[in-house]
Amino acid sequence: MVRRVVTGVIAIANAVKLADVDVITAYPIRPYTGVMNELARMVADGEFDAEYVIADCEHSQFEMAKHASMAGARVFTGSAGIGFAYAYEPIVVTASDRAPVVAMLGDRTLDDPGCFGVEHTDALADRDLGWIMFFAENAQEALDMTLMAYRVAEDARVLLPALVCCDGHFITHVYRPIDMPESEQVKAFLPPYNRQYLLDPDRPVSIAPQVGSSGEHAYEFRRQMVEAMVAARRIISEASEDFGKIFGRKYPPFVEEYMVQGADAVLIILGNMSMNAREAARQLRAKGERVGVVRIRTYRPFPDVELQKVLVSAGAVGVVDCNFSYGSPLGGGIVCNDVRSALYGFPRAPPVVDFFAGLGGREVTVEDFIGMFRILLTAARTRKAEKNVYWIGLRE
Amino acid sequence: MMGVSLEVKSISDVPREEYYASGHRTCAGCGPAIMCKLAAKAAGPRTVILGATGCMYVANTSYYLTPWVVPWMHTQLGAGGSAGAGTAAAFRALMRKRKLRGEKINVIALCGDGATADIGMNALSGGMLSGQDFLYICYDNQSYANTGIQASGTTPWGAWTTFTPPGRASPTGNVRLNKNLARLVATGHPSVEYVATASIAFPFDFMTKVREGLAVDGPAFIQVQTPCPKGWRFDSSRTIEVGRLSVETGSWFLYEVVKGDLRLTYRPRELLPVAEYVRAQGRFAHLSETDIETVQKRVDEACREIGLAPSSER
Amino acid sequence: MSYGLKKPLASWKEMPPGVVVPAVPPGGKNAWYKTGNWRIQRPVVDKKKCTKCRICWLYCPDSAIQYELLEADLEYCKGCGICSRECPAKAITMVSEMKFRPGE
Repeated sequence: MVRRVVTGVIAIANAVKLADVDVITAYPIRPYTGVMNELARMVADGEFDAEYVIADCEHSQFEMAKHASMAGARVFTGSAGIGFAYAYEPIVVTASDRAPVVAMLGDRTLDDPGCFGVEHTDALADRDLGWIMFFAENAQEALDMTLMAYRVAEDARVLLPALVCCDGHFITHVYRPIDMPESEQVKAFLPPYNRQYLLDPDRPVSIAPQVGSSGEHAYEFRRQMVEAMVAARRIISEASEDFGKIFGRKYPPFVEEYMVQGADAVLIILGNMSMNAREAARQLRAKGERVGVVRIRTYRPFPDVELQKVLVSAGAVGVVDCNFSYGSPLGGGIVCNDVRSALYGFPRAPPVVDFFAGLGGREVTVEDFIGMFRILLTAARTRKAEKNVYWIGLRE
Repeated sequence: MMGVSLEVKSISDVPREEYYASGHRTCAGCGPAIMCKLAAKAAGPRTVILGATGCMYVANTSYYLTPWVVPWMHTQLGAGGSAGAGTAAAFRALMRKRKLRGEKINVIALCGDGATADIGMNALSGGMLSGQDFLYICYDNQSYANTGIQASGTTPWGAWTTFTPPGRASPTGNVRLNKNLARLVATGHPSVEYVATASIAFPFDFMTKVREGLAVDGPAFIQVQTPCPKGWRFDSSRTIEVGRLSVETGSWFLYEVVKGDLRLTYRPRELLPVAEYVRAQGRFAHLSETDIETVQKRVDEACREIGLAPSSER
Repeated sequence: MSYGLKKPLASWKEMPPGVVVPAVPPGGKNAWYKTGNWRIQRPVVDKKKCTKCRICWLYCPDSAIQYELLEADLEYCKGCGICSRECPAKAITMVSEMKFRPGE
């Protein structure tokens, strides 16, 4: 086992190398470009063999990746923020074509205004389309999730593209010591990419013909996609087990629970911010307050069952939203509304409070999280939320 | 230039097998359908086709069916260049890494003029820049035909389309001077060793060019004119005739640009007046004699530029 | 002759993943989409005038003219008339479908 100090993007580049990716499609946009720089260096130095294709824009980048995947290549691509938005057309079609593309997203605030800071809306705005979505917390997870992504996406029972979401700057650019896997371990974990239907002159097929416009076929394809997500749940659990055995790092596949035992107040969170949330929880627990943190690691398929289990007995639930959803029900952010939906109908469901925090890349401090917990503890005691939505640290 | 054995000189050189079979929803007399058939024959069975949205998608692989014998995949309207480059990159990587064996696989991106000149310009240029080994065939029926004939980047001046209907306030119809796609690709993309224009009315010339484009190890581009009875408004039996008139009047040239050198592959002995071509199509029926003179002047200029004696200078 | 024979609709479990359909086998045609019933006229070949140049076979957009028989496959021929127009020997005449009885 080799220990190295790397940034998130370098970690992911190493995962791509270890996975023996065949085609990489590159286009620059902050804050994910570093992964493509590192891959370019690796390929140019002969560290591994891949076709490195420079695209003319994100739309082309993701289109190239989709077609390379359907021609039988293991592919890697990526983007960030508004660039990911430019690729919306191929993002939609990659999922419905069932092309197991793996892409890295350096989560970044959507334009306008231009802002390099982290926000999750770039990923979450596309949550309905059929991509598997993992949210990493640090460079190690980013590497590990990339390997998981190939394993799950390429599984014949799944065949869905996968997105590895990494907070811009906080994961992409921050150095951390990580365990670099050995290539034998990766070979044991990742079977080679192969699938039944490919662009192959020996087994010719027509992929994605036009279908009837009276719903003769599309409806059934929608149902197939849902089934693929259901299968993904199973395969994510299986693969996670395998991962733990082969690499020695055991991750809970869907949600990571921290100090949730008997918690009166629980915060739901995504990404790197959870580090400060956990520190706040430690400080409050030391003072006798019963608080906990649940970090969502897999956002699609959504971990409704796991969240129900841990949250239903909480006194109050807070959701940290680093995203926006203008005009949404109850003014809630995307994650909050998904969590509320998952808890709806439970007879003793706790009040759910939404905390917008960290938008535009603003730092969310331990004090901010302590403040959120205090609001939740009050809500737990009074058994109702005073407000549905709080904007933490907003200049009023 | 490639060997004599690949050249298609006559019917006896044309493969008998169909790789684009009967049973598609194209209009009776469809020019692009003839193009698909000829291109597929020229390329042979070890070929993968990427088809952008358009008539050759919606009217071909319709109702969850397909007329294609070779592997085929849909791509987005503006993604032809990316689809070709991505597929070619995969085959190149897999063959180099010995994950795929056998003879080279031809990769052809088949896209309409709207898909190429407008929405797909980005991807076309990026694909040509990529250096990947694929052939981009733009089938040019000079409109967005599948959505009911709207003006595209190659719609000629004076043409009726639903977006450029001639009317009292605006009697000419289309006033935009169409892009010259083949020259655009040839002039600005040094890594493209083969660019050609073709016509389905000159089928052997077209099929030979398809093979030349495929023989090049890198990106190649062919713009093939494919008259459209619906959009150009002529009887369905006259598709080839109108295509022939286009070339014989100097309204369309047949040339290839090999490593930057342009050479006509067909020189009409005597160019016919452009009026014969224009008056054969209902989409130009509203044009006045003055308008046709304007068209003739532009055609004459283009002829001089490419080295053909204009019809008016006989 | 059964025109417009549509492929039976399968359940979502039977349909292959990723909107995939098998290609037409070599030598075959798209059996599920016969376009012969579009016609209002059909090509009639005068075998005495025909020189077997096969220009009609080459140009047919629907590959309906058969190379050996030099007749139109009536299950697919749309009656566009290109074969008639292009025949150098003027051996093909387009005849109205009204002149034929059903099944002919």
